Amino acid sequence: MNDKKHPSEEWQEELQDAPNLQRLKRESIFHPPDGYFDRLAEHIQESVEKTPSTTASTFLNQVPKKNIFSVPALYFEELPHRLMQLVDHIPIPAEESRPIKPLWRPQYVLAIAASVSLLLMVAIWLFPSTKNVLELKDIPVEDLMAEIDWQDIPAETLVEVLGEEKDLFDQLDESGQEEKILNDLLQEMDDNELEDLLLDI
Amino acid sequence: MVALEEKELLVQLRHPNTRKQAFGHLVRRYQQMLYFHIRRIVIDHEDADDVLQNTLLKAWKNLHKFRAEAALKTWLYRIATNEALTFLNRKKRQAHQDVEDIQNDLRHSLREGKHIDGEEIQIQLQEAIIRLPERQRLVFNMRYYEELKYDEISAILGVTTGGLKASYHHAVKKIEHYIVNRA
Repeated sequence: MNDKKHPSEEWQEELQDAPNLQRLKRESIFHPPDGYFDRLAEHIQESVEKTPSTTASTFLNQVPKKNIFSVPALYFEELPHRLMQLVDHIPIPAEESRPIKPLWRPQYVLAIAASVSLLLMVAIWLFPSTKNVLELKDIPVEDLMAEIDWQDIPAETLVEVLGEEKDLFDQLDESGQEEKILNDLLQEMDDNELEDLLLDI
Repeated sequence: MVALEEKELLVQLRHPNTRKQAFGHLVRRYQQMLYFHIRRIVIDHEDADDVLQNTLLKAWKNLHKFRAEAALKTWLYRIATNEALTFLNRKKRQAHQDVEDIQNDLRHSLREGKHIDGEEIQIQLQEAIIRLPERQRLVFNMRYYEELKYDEISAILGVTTGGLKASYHHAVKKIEHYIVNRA
């Protein structure tokens, strides 16, 4: 059985404590001009069209949008030529030459996580304000392994950067000692190399 | 030279025999878009030239990793943005500068640098943009000058369109405030 009350009944009940209000005839005393709602849509449309822009800035509406930056003569004509000369000296790895590595392999993920942690610690170490707080040789690998939560840097990115520099993928394939190799690589790098690595990431 | 469709360009970029020529097409097609995007971030032409070169060389080195899940334009924009921001951060760290120092450097480049051609009011607008926080600055430039859709900016910066709209709104308000207070 549906015992839901009609809205008008609910309304009456809500006014039980206000008998005077209950007695009053409920009607609007506000009356728009004749034909107001007939013209409203058209009026709004006209106002919208007169609004100059969707931005809230009068300044931006007044200043012509202009690119003030220019380039030296023939810059865009010469750039492709200049770049293609540089490209000649950069061999591009063929797609098929690098097999896809399963990044989710447990020991691999662990090694990456440790290295990520190490890099983050190194990042702190590199900052002048905290210099001398940490040194690479003082950080036990076990502690690094415990820092797995630090995953802000994508593991894949780190491996790619390391791989590009040191042909890491091949070494990993041969030895299977990912963790040791990754940490050894990081330990071998000097301050500048580590800084560059962090910037690349 | 005949312009290649993006699909055809991608096919040619993947094939070792046509890769280099196709990359030349890519450079010619996107160089201006990337240059002005970078230039609005680093302001100085020489810096923009360095960053653009690094951007395109990085694209070349990583072509084999591009999987066409994103548009080529989005991928290149992403690399360019990262390179430009990395450039500024590196500069900041090397000179032990803070954000305000970098903003002062950029303003100096704007006032004293070469290859800048605009009326005073447009220079002032650029000064106001330079004072914005990094994300708002990027979003404002990409929306106002480069006229990218919010969906495109979202794919490039990895920020939701709602967040981008909020950033743009705040950027516009701050620019207005800066200009009114200068007047």
